[in-house]
Amino acid sequence: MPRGDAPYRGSAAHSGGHGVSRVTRVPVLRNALTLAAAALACAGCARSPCGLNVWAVGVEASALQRMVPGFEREHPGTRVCVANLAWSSAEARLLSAVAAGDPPDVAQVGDTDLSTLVTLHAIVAQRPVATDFFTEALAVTRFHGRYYGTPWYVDTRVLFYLPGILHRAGYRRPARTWRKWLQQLAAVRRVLKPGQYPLLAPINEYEFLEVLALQQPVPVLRDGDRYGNFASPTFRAALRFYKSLFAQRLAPRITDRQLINLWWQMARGDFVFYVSGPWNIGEFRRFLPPQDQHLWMTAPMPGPRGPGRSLLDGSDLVIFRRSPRQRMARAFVRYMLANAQQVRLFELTGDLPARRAPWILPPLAADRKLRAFRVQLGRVRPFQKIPEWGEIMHGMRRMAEQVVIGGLPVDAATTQLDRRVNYWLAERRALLARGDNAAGAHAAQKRP
Amino acid sequence: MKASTALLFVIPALAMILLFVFIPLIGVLGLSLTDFNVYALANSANLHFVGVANFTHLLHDHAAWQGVETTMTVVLVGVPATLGLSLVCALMIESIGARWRGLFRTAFFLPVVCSTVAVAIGWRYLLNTRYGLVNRLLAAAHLPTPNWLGTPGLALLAVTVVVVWKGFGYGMIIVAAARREIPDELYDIARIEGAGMTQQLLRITMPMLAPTLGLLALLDAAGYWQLFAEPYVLTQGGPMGSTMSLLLLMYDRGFRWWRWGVASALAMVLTVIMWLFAWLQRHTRAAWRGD
Repeated sequence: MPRGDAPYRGSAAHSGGHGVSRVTRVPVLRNALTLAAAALACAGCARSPCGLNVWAVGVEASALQRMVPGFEREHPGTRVCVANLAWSSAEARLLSAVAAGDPPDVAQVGDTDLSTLVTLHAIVAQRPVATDFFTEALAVTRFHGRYYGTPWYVDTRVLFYLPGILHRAGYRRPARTWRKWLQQLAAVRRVLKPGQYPLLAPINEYEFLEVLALQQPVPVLRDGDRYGNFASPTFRAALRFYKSLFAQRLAPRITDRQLINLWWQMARGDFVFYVSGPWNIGEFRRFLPPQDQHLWMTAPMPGPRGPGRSLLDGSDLVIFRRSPRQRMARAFVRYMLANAQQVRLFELTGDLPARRAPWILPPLAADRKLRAFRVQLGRVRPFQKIPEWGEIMHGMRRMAEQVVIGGLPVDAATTQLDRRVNYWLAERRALLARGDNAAGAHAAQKRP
Repeated sequence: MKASTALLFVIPALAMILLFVFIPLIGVLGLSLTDFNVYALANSANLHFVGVANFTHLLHDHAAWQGVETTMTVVLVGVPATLGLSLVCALMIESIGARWRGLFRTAFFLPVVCSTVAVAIGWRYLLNTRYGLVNRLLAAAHLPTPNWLGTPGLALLAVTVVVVWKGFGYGMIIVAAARREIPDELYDIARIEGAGMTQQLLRITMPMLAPTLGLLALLDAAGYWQLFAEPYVLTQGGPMGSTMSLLLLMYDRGFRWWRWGVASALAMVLTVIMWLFAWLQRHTRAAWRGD
């Protein structure tokens, strides 16, 4: 399983420099060690202190680290330090830094976390640096009529699938409706080996179910996002569809932590369909050898009746109010949103430009696997911009787990979830009743 | 003069404890009586005193009770398992020749000094449903290959196994040291009196080791109540919250959803449980010293 180790190869290269304290006990080596320490210290003092602190997450942080030299060349004497956070703890780290009064200058913030930072008055409003942002992406950053944060890349979910196996099952392309897709998944299962599944839908990821919910006409929150609305017939229909995928053994009941290496496993046919985002374009290209690149393809989401909507997510670059380097921070954001950098970000990560102009440039225009994303971006729906959204989505995921693994009936599960969501939204209701803006004046704002 | 010198030495440590333990503890107690959340962070006018509302909320919170159940299960299963394994391994390495002793002692102790996160990631691979070594061996023996980390009961079992495997080496070293303290004369006399191996074990070794084992049980139990890293890496508390320990739940409520009122109330509950263990430990030690 040589390729199984691939995702972690990069980090292993940075190890070293340990075991120093053990050596200090040997007197002969003490002088050498002092010299080494001095050398290390000198290497440290030769580098200037950080002129701009930027926090980013995962692969985007790695990409930023490779893109900052260009910015530093344009701004001589400024050193940009990029910290690499993990998605699972990024919001916690940012909120802690804000609470402690020590945030970075600029940070990459997921769309879902943006409203929390706005609620905290932690970030400054910015004038949009371009006029060609995707409308929905820009709308996500709009609070009280001003724009907080600049859309950096957009993200929606589409089907990643294996055309070869789909052909063997007798289909030319993925279905456009839920009903047909179910038939297709059942047909695919017949050509698979034992232990392989037509669909991967990790039970600890809420996005797939979120997409299914967004495809329904009725939102999951009601009365200006004051109460849960999961007991609505349309969400229950979405949940029943989700449940049937597991009940019919079309998808395994596993979490993403139980994957060895998603890309390698998909190439082997362990899973034929996976609903995921654009970063996986980059990951598939990175972790599969060139001769296996023809194995996978992308397609827009099927819907309850005809082509379905998907969610709109993404990341924004925000500037913190406490930053003493506002001008430099703005320059950094402008630099990263230029065509060249948007294309470079796509090349490094597969992240989709938040502006339209880079899409007609060669690397993006020529990419067949991007087509599904371009189509899907015309059929997206943003989520409710409230600080509680992340908690509500995780609550929904836990409820879905109870349904899928625990056998809890759909009706009881959704009623229970509404009760829980209403409790989480109690503070928000109280604030809105008092006319407080902190809960987000966008409550009354209608979604497109 | 002597007392003041002693005080001089104690003050730095006391100051540290005051600064980093007692003051935060009072802060947490204060927070647990408020509804501190993300809105309160934005505007302190949104911070309210709610009395014991957070604690009564916890009483009716299914997740909190599940957290108690999960953590207790790990304690009740994990502590005897750890002790048993520590004891067996300690007696084994003390009875084998010096040539192999070092090797086994190092091998059994190795998990203790390994990074918990690295160890948990390793176990995640071992327990993988399709490619993991555990299921491969089971398949080779024509046994069912379960979905270890995706089935509630099994996931908790897996977490417990990892915790025990990671911790028993520490107890082993302590027990082995205690075993070496038992005078050889006792065994010589026992042999002359005609006691067999089993009788020597039950009448000499076990009674002499009892105080050590009791202390270890308390230390292990106190440690397992604070279970966090293993489920965090292996399962993130899932599936269905079956591996959500109290500490993990507190982290979730506090750092993830920023509900510091409820999270602090949970922290206070844990603090009381920990104090209980500290008290038990002191008193049992005193009792053993007494006789």
